[in-house]
Amino acid sequence: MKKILSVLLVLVMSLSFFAGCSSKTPTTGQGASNGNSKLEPYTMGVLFFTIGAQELQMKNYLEKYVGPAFNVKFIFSDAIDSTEKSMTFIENAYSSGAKAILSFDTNSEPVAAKCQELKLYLVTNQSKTFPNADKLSQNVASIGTLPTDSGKTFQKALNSLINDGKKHNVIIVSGGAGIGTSSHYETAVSILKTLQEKYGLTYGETIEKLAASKAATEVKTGTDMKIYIYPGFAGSDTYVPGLSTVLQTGQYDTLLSVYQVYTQFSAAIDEVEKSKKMNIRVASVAPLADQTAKSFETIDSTGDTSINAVVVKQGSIIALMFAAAYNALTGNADLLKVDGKAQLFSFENFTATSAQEYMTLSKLDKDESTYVYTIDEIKQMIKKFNDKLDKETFAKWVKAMELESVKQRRGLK
Amino acid sequence: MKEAFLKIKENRWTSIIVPFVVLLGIGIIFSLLTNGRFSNENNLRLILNQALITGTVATGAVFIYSTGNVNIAMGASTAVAATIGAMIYVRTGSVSLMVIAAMAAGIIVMYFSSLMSVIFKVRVLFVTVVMMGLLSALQQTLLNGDVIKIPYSVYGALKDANVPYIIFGVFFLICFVVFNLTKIGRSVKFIGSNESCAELTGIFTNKYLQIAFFIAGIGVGAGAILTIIRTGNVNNATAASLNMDVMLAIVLGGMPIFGGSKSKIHAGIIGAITVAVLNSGLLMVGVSNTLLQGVRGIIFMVLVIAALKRPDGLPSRL
Repeated sequence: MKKILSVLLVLVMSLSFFAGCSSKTPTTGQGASNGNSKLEPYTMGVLFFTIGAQELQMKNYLEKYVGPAFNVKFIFSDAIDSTEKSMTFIENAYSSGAKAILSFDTNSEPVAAKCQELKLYLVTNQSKTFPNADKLSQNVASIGTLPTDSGKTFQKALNSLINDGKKHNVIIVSGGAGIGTSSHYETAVSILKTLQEKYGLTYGETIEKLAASKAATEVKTGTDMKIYIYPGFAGSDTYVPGLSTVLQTGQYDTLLSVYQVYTQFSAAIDEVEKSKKMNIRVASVAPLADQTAKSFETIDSTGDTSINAVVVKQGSIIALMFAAAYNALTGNADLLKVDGKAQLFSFENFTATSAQEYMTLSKLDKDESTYVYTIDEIKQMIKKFNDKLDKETFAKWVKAMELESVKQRRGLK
Repeated sequence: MKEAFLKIKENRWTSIIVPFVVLLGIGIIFSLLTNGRFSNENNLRLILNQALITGTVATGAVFIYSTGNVNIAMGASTAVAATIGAMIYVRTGSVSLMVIAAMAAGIIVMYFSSLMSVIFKVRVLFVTVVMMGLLSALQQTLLNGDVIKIPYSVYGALKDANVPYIIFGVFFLICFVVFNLTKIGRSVKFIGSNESCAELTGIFTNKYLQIAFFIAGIGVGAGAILTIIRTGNVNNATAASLNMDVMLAIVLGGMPIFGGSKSKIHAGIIGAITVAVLNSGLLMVGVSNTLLQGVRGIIFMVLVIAALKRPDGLPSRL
């Protein structure tokens, strides 16, 4: 009897689960309500590498704002942590009618091969073009920050921390710098170069070798200044505890993270600040999201803000990726290519070195009046709506994601 | 009424037919809900492709599960075999050596687990808990944070030559014959039904446990090769969810979680296809990807609860 009851209970749970699923995401029908029923309906798959505040913001923007205006339905992945999952998602999105994939997977080559096999148009968020771009006819474009620009932008954030004339011991959270994530690598290189120039350091290895360290490494600096490189991603159980151990030595007062992970270390930082009565300052790549604003607003035990400087990764890139894919779907797949090869369109991320600066940024991407790209602007990036569009004009729109342009267009100055 | 229900439930044909009926039923429902898009040839081929890796590893694992044991290191074993296979390819550029290396690694890793269980007389479950951690550490050491990439020209050509179907087909055929038509199959099922009784009738349980792990090792090696062909690279997330997928597939395929006489060699592939059908079909009818994971978990829970009861008179496995 107990067993029957437990099976019944689980079945009820399942049914309520499915009942919850019945409120489907906006579909093509909602596009019609916006007076866009004349537009041909399309479906696009969106492949996310992680799911965080920024991804949810992108999802919201596409589903509620872009989708209805262009009669496009989106299928979103959950966090894709393996190539196998990427393959399965792309295949299932294809079966569900998707004609294009917008991919944030950092391991882009198998994704490109799968899209090629299924004849799905692909737009990637990455900072380089594919080495075999000539064989990937389905690859429409790559949009991202040039690795060198990533380094340059982070340098601004770093300078705001080290321009106080004091010496600092630094932990560099280098993410995928050692396994070929070029933006992480270039940022790590830029940090090491900046520190070398600023403090006259002599490293025991070349900067390139140090930046590409695959294991946690204490850098020989030729002085008593300490630099610790901490590579890897937060997926493993030992990642955060490993960094906590280094922080607990109380020797490091500056943490520089090349990717969005600092929130996972915040408890460990707070603990060390309280027990050692020291201030650890943080500069990190971060999303344009409430959690970043909160970090700027939160005052820690030393009276400083939880985070001191950020390089803001912009969710608005999804608008550009959408426009590139929509061009391909509407018969202009080669518009953004040169000699049949998909190109990289690059832009610079935002930097904020104080709460005040961040608050200006945080006003963005809330609604139509503050979106980095409005529907009218997206239409300007699509040949179907803007007959004069060419590769150069599209590149200008990509550059328009940079802060000054956005402030000007949204009247935020 | 209750007796009639129990009679149907205990009938040997019920457990054989039900998984096929469920699979067919789900297929028909999704096909109707998607106006036939679900059952088009292209989609069915994609579903089969998605099920092949899990199906292959699960088919081998059926031999272990039949003995009443649970191996929770199938994913980690496959990841190590794939890593070694890919490394050998990168060093030698030879596909044949890659295949041999992956197969050998799969067999060695699995056989080692069985030896640990037999020598130290520790239940397989506990040995594989330890092995899971060890293998994961071994894979991370071998990879050293890298992603091993196989050129598209290589894995694409293997895909085009239908190598995955051939590997699965040959392995399944061998397993089918061994499981259903030889003493090995009968013995592992007997051990799963009643280990003490099997020993008293002259079956060396340790020997058959090692044979079961050896065959599962071949499945792990084959699964590793299929993983390389499907994804073209190996990293520290390779086969991360395979363990759960294999367990889900075996149970969903109609096999009792504690093995025994009702174990079926087709459970792995039928279950793997059912999981792939659910993933694809639910997405096609509009269920979001995030919810799919929850749905899978709930289905697994229902099936485990339903499969927990062992026939009266047999010793409990709990």
